[in-house]
Amino acid sequence: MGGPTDEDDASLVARCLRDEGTAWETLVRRYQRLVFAIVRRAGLDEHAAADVFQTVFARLIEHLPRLRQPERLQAWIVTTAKRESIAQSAKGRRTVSLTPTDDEDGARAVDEVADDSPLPEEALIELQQVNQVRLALERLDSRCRELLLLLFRDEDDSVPYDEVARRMAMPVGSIGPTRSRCIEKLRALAG
Amino acid sequence: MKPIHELGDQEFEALARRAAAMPDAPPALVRAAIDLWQTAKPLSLQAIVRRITAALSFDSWTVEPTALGVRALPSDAHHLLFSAMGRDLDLRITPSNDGFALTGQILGPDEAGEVRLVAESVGAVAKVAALDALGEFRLEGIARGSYLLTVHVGGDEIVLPPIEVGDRSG
Repeated sequence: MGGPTDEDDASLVARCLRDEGTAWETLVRRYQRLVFAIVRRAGLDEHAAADVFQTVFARLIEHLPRLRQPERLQAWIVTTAKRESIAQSAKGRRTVSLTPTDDEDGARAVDEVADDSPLPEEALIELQQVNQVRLALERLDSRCRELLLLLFRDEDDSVPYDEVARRMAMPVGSIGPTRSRCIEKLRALAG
Repeated sequence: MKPIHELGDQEFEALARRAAAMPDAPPALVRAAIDLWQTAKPLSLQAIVRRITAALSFDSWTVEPTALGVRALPSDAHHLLFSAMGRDLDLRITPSNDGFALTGQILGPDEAGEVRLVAESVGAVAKVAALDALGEFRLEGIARGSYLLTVHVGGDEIVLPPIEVGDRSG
């Protein structure tokens, strides 16, 4: 239940509106990394980050019936996560001047933020791209996914090629070409 | 920032590495967000749906399957067919290592949906499963007892008569 799916956001929102809890779970699992990454990027402590994370999804569940462009759900989530992170970050600090305006789906966009905002627009775009590729990675066939996850580890955690070959039950010489094919498949899924 | 399809090979690989390393939110946070569906769903989300009562059209334990041209199942499997206003539901109950498994398929218009299993004695949802692309579902680890199965598909709520999960002998 709630695993990777090709179902688009608009379809999942429609199913939520028909009271299908599995669609809600799929939406949460689809965007949990992105919301968490935005919250972490804002530099919030653990408790504040948890609060903002829950607030974003609580706002979403309240807002679902009023979402006029469900195909733009990701943009709504990102805007809300940014707004709530900034609001949380501003608590206990000097007042941050915000000039909220409503987009047509009612999500308030922050037009002016403090100069030291940890969430510039470019960072948010980048996080969305990373999430998009991550979701594509989850939809990749299991063999390619396993290979790429082995090969893309950090330097500290890296797995030697002969060990990769053993785990994947493939000749060392096949790793390179297979890797290339898998990256192409990933690129096609990521759009 | 370039869109993904304009990235060069090295740029895309760098992005893919970051994607592979993208951490999950803490499981407890994810679970709590999922559980909001039970605790914070606004009343307006409970859409007006068409409620349909399904009718039992075949029960393998009450008729010889060969008499209807239906392939015989292992004797410990229970095969039920229901019909509900343009849709048919094929349900099979089979013993498994951890109780019983309910597998089935909704035959009809091609729509996404889910099934919910409620234990009659408890009255709470025991299991939920989404329909796959073929309209199939699987629920596992079902204990003996009487259950209500509802199918939510295409804006309809299809309610089946109570189902007994257990061995043929009782």
